[in-house]
Amino acid sequence: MIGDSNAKVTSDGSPKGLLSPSLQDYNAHIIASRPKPWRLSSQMYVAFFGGALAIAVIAILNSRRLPLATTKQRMTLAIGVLGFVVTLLAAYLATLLNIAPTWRPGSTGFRVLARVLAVITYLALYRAQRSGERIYTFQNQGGFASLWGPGLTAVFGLNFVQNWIILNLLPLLLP
Amino acid sequence: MEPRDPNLTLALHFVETGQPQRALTHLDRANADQTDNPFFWYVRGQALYDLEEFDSAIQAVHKGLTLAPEAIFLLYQLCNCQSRQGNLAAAERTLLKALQQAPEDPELLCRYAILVSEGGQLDKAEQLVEEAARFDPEHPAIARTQATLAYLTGHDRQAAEASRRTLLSNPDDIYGQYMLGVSLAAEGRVGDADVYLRTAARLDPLNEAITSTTRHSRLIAHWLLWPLRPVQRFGPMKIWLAAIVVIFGLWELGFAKLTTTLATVYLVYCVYSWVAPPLLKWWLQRQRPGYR
Repeated sequence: MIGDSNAKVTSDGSPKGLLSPSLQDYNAHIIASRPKPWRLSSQMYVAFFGGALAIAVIAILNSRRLPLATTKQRMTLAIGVLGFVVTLLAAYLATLLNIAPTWRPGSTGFRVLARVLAVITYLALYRAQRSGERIYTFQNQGGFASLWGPGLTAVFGLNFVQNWIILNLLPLLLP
Repeated sequence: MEPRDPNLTLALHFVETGQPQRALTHLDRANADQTDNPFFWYVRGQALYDLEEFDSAIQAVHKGLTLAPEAIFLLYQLCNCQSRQGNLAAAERTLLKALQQAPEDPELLCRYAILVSEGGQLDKAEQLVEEAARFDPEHPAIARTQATLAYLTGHDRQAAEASRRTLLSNPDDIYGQYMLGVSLAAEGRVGDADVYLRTAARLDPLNEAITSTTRHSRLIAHWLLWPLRPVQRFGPMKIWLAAIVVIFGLWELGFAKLTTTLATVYLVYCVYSWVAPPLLKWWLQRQRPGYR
């Protein structure tokens, strides 16, 4: 894991605080042995076809493959969880408030809404991970991994899980 | 420290002009007493570094450091070698030793900024550049480092501006040409980027990172990929979102035939964007042996 710097300039304005070592936890062998990351632009398709849970899981896994600081990794995790929770909340409210049938979970309208939420989640995740991808490409670390297998697994598997939670678990929570 | 042996002078010239192999030949011909000169080991280390023989380069620099343990130019070079090997922890220790002697040196502070940015510590990197600018705002390393950090944080326009500032003070700055090319390419200005990347590759033909980026730039600037210019300019994400919004919008408005036509055209366009670049690369590799 890449450590965060907690450097601060000292009160007299000298750079001593900045000149404290902050890369000593950086283990080149562990980083080199990590799997290659997936391209951020490819993850958009996972978001659209797989939903918020699929893109959250792919992005969280990817953040551990990229040279991202711990805070950015946590931010990725938080955004992913938030995107999924908002999707569940939308489904819960749509059922609770008994809105028009075209917007209830399982309908075309709700599927469109869920995709919009997933794409918004993706955009936030993209911003959180962009610097990591830039650093990775800048270091010329040897290409990206293919997202075909994990992406399709996430699209089919996690989209099924998300829909199952929305259609079977959420109704149990209704008053 | 000035080189006195003519072979050492020639070796330095060949290192500076990107001919590291010839530099090594002249170093082998230098007088035996030159091995007591730390500068001899610096030049040898630089030639080996340029040849990407980092283990040998580190050995050479260590020999120099046994003669002059505090020499900043050797510590700087050792840091570069360790960083290229991916050993950021060792590179940091080496660079901090140099910074202990010269904590206000903008070149060293900027090098440290790049080093910590490689470890993902972009906030600290930006603070270090600010610190360097406080000591010498006009130092060329500052604009160069600002360009790199702006690019890494996704601020492509700022990166291009900083690169232009670097080139104002030195139009032949290889890194400035390269960073401007890379930033413009990230902004989607593929044609403009190609000009700067080609210049960088011409100035430093041995640099693999520059030549491979230039080859890629040449590929995406090819006329067969002109239909993909909108994707390069705005990014696949924006084009995709626009297409989805228009297709869904037309569908909702009841234009079924138009929706089908547009969706088909977009699908063909997507397939072209996936298939055309690797096919073109394959074709260019066949046409021009040595093209990678």
